Amino acid sequence: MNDPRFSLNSSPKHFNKGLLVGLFMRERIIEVGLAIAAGIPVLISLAILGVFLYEATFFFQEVSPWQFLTDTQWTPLFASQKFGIFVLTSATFSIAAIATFVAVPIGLLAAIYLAEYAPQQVRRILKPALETLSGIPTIVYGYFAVLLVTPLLQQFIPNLGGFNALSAGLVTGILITPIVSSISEDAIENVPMELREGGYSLGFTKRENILRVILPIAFPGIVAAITLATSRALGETMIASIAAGQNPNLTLNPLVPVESITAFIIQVSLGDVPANSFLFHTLFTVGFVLFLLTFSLNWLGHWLVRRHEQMMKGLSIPSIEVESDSSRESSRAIASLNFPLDTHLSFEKALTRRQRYDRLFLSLTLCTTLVGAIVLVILLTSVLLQGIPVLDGSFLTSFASRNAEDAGIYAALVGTLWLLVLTAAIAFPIGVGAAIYLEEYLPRNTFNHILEIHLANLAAVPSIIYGLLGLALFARVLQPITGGRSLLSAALVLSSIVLPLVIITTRGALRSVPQSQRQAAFGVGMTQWQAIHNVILPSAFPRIITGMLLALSRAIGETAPLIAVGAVAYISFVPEFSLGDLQSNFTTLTTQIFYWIARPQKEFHNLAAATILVLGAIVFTINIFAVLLRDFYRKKKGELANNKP
Amino acid sequence: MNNQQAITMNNPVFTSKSEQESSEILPEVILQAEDVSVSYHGIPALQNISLEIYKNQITSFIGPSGCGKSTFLRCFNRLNDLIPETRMTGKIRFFGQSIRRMNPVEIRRRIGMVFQRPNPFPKSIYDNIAVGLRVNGYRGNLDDRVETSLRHVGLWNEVKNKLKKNALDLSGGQQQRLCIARTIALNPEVILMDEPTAALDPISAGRINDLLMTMRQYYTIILITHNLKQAALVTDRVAFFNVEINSRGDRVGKLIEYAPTLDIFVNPTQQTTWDYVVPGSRYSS
Ligand SMILES: Nc1ncnc2c1ncn2[C@@H]1O[C@H](COP(=O)(O)OP(=O)(O)O)[C@@H](O)[C@H]1O
Ligand SMILES: [Mg+2]
Repeated sequence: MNDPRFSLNSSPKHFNKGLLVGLFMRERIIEVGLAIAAGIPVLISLAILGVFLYEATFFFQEVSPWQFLTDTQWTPLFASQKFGIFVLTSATFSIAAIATFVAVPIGLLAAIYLAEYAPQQVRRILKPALETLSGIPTIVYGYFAVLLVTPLLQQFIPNLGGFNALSAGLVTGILITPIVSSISEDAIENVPMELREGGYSLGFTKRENILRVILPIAFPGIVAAITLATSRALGETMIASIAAGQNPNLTLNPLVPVESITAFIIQVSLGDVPANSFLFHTLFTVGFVLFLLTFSLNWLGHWLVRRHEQMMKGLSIPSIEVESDSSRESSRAIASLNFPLDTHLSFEKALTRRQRYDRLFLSLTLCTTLVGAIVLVILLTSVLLQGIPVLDGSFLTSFASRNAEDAGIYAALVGTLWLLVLTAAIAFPIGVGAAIYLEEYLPRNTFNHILEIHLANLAAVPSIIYGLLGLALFARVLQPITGGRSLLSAALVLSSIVLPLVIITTRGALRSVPQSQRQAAFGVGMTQWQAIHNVILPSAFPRIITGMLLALSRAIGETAPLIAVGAVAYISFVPEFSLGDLQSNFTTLTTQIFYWIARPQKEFHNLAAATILVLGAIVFTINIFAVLLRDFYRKKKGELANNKP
Repeated sequence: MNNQQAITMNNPVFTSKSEQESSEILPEVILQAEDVSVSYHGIPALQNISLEIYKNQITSFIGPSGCGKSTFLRCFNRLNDLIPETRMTGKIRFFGQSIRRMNPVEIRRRIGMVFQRPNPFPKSIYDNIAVGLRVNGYRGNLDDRVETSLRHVGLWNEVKNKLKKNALDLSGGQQQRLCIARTIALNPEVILMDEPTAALDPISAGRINDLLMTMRQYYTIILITHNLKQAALVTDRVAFFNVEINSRGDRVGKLIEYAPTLDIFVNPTQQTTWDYVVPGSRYSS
């Protein structure tokens, strides 16, 4: 045993005991830090609840719930104040109803095509085309609705107002179509192969199998998709406030100007509302109504999705036979039957006719799937046609101006880039830390499960709600730090919005690391954190970064929460990296687009189009970057795998 | 007197195979496979299978798992067409006509299938049977047809008072009989069964065996089974498949021996068949 070759791990004294104690301390500190990160989304939910309830209490001290529910007018800005919430909800609901009416048939047929018919290559193009629709900043849809769709509709409906629920609803419908299609597609794909084969083996054509077997089984999942999409339509802010108008009007007529809950919030946010004023309380009460509506729909939707998935998993686990009198009787009965069944069956429907319906159905689903690509093309061409002529160097380097020829987006561009960096710097560490805690430390119990659903719901809360939270919390309570309605407050709002997304995608990335890698790490004596730091994180890294980039591209498309937290129309300086500048006023590309669309002159609309192009270019760059990164890592992984003997 | 007994009586147990074939009066051929090979993703799973399926007999496919029995069975109703990257070569004739020229939808109505795991639709018991009839445009009385189908699988008494209940509430064995009922309701000319009792408890399995015994002289059935007792009990002919490693190292399914049931169990001509079916060898149970 004295052979030096064997002395490698001869005695434990080679390992420093003090090091172990230090290691233990470090483990504890890291765990506590991660737990705090995981607590932040919970804190945000509590803050939303707290702030909104607090403000609503003041509101209901002056206005009785009875008045709130029964008044037929909504005039908080006038001397004779009336607070009939149904005036606003009627507009919110009619826009959402029109949107759902558009999105359900298109989304469902597209889901059927993508899940059941599309060849791989076609699917690879059409699915992203369709899903891009829900990634387009909603301010762009607002532009589209008011400058393209409404004028077009007016040609067919002469008495259509310049602002109306119809075009807002139609365009919102396009925005939520991908939500319907992608969740329905999952539900359809989850239908077990055995049941499909059951249908085919009874001589069903593909269409018959889809309509008779697959869709009925996928139905609960489809209902969930519709629920979640409707919730998104209810909370949609920019389209409603740009295209549907700001006229509180208790009506279900889609042709006249109305005001939705979200449009009211934007309208009030545009002015400077003093804190603790009655209008301020009203703002939050209305926001709370919207929050309750969408939050309950989201819970319902996510619960349905989960229940459906579980149902699919347990679909055919049959129980054991029990002997009973009736079963014994029926087996005796078999013997006495004269086989076979009456063989003179007549089947009337000619197969050729059934197959003609099949081809028709296929073309129908294909055409609706193309709607996504077509809308994209129309949008892009109209924006390009309007925007290209004004897009030049001086447009990028000038400040905004009253004069359309001199106006540029310098401050807005810098503001957007600043927000991008700040949001990444805040949301990334917190989000990844929280995800690590939830996924690697917290036991997988019911509480963790509920937290997971809750995070999905937080991600679906309308962003305007976060804007109001930011207004109350970051811009007022934390004013000494943030400087009020500032770049910093805006970055905190955007971080709250993307945090749930970052956590969800990071959890997915961590979950995709095979369990064997964890065991290998623990097997060589790594502590929990060492395993995470050295093995799990590096392996999950590409997916984490991809998720983060996608979350950021969502963040820079946001408009409504920035208006709520106080983005201004005109700024004549660019912020530097100093606390003073971060505490200063801000403007961004999206809010700049909003202010320009609101101008009556056509020249400003062209400026808006050019700004949309710049915004689009940034979002596109981020997405390309995400895809390249993913492919790069995938290739690297592939090479590693190939090197194996 | 059925075929099986006829064979047994006319042939002494230890005659050679060729003698047997010559003296056997074979019934009409319904399905005929000629040199069938199947590959998944370009990797062969099954090679050069030729055999004939006779009318009103139960033919069983036996062999170790992974030898391609299911793959072969699913060629007969072209169910493999639905799996991407699956290629079949060779020819299958149905009443002399190549099935490749026929409409797969029509083939599947005429050649029904029952699967290993019961797969009733999550609909009512009644609708499970009615949906196939409706889609295929059945002209008679639906209620009557549903009742007779259920009676023929011995399920009627158990379910007649709960026809509107969800089929998933039935026990596994009942579900499987419902699936058989749903198949025979369409009056198929052949029924393919892929280990129909493998996922069931012994009582349920026994009941399905009873049912197969009753059906055997009236239906043409191809039955995959791992249960040799079942094969010996209810079938007329047995095809034994096995896995062979080809020159490229792929595990490929081959047909080793195809003969009347008694010959396979008592007088197999191939050593591998012998190893598989003879009691005391590692497969038998
Ligand atoms: N859908 C499929 N894709 C790829 N390979 C398959 C598929 N189905 C079966 N196989 C392969 O084909 C071979 C034969 O399988 P199978 O026909 O199911 O055998 P058996 O029914 O005799 O157990 C197996 O090696 C199996 O892995
Ligand atoms: Mg099998």
